[in-house]
Amino acid sequence: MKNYNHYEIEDFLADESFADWIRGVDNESSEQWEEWLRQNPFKQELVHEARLLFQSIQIKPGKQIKDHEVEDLIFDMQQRMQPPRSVRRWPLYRIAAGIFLLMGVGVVAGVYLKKNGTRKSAYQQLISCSEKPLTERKNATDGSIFIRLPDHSSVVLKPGAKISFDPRFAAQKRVVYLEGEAFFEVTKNPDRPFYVYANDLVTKVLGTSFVVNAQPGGEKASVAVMTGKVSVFSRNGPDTRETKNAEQLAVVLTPNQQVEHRQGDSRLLKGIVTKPRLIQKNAQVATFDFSEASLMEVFMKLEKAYGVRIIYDEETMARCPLTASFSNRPLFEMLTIICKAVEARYEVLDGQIIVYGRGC
Amino acid sequence: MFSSEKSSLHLDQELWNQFREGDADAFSNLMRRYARLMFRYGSRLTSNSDLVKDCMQDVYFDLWEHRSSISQTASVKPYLFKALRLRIFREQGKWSRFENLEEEMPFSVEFSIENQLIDQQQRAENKEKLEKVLNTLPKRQKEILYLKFYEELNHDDIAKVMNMNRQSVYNLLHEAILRLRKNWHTSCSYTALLLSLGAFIASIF
Repeated sequence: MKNYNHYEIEDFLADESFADWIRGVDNESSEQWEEWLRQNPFKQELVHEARLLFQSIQIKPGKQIKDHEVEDLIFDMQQRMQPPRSVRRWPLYRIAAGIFLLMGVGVVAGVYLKKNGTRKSAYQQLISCSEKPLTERKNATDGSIFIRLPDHSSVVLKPGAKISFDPRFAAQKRVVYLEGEAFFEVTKNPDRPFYVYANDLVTKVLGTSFVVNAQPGGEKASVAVMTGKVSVFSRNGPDTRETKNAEQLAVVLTPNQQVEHRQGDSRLLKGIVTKPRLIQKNAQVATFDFSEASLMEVFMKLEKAYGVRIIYDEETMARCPLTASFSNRPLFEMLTIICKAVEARYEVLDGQIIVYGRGC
Repeated sequence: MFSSEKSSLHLDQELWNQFREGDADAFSNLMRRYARLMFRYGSRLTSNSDLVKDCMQDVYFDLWEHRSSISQTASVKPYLFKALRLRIFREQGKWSRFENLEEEMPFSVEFSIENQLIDQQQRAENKEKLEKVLNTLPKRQKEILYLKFYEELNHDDIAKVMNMNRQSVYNLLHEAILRLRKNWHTSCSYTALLLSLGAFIASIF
């Protein structure tokens, strides 16, 4: 310990170990200071004043960066960090801000069933923790159903799947809870990120479309991205308000990557999907005008625009004629209309769209 | 050290090392951890928020591009602060006619004195005086006070960020606090004053 006997207030304040002591960050210096004070009781008052002055100096908070600005910044950086895409993607992203972004993202969370009759399912736990009354939609049919969310995002629920959400979506973030499989197309709103809670995994997007599948009561989950970009993290508990820390450990998934998660393990293991795909880049405005077009042409255009695969029987359906005009319609709405026109139906399976029809 | 601080430093080290090995997720997490702090500091050096954000991106981009040649670092915060500070100065300098850039660069910070222990009545007067002292300090002294009291950096780190030697940091800090101390009256000295005033009044009657 230095000789502090000739110290004045300013000397104490400019001393590093004094600062550590006041802040209580260094136990060793605390002990030394307290010992010194015992030996030099006449310095008590001076030290007391120095402490008061130290604690009185405040700095008014300045400008803060908003959460969504941080996310945008990181998103931009991630684009720049991938050399081949950096040149075109970066400025485009800025221009596209605010426009409904048409980007296909497929997420599949496959979950293995765990038989446990007494325990509440993850989904039930999640919805019981919500502060606000939630609206629940359930698909009891054996086909997919289309749901429009309050923010004009759309969800296609697969048979047996259910979804809960605040009917007003009033909070700063848009949260939905899912059990089963669903396809989402989320309207872009950087101020209100969109979260899907499915078992222990949380998928966060600022505006895009993707598929989530969470079977009831699972202990293992995985998310695989076909196209686009989402961040995925595991939640610590059922309280959806406490996602901040977990979010810091988020894994950002780019196409053909997947993440696996086991219940009770905080790690997210990143890997590569079993069937990697090519991603078609297309920055067109989502206006589709089909005049006596063949179904093959229509599906090709949609595939290219959304980066999703549409599988159908080319032999019987490729030449079906179609006349339709869509402007900024979500993919599934278009598909529903197209399928109706050619007397077909479709389903989403494993991030792909499968169209069944007898042909024309 | 408290364990939370220790583990946070430990996480920094881990992320930093993963980033140096080319792990993009670790790098994203580092950006997420420090974006707020960097913006907060950068905004003191320029009022142009877009410039701060652009400079932050440039800093990140440089780091990422040179990740393989970047050394281990004991603490990430001063490293990032220093890089951001330099970048902002350089960008500002492009449009500046000043010769001695660093001296001309602003550091906008508003100090206040918040002491519940000072007597209510005297507080306002004294507070005003002290705040005036603090807020009229030279820019670089304000910056040192900011880094020490707000960002809680140690003197080595402040020296690193501001590209000075440790002794100069200490000297400037000492000088600033000395000016402050000369205007400092606490409840103790105020009570002493009251007592002596009381004694004086009593002696009159």
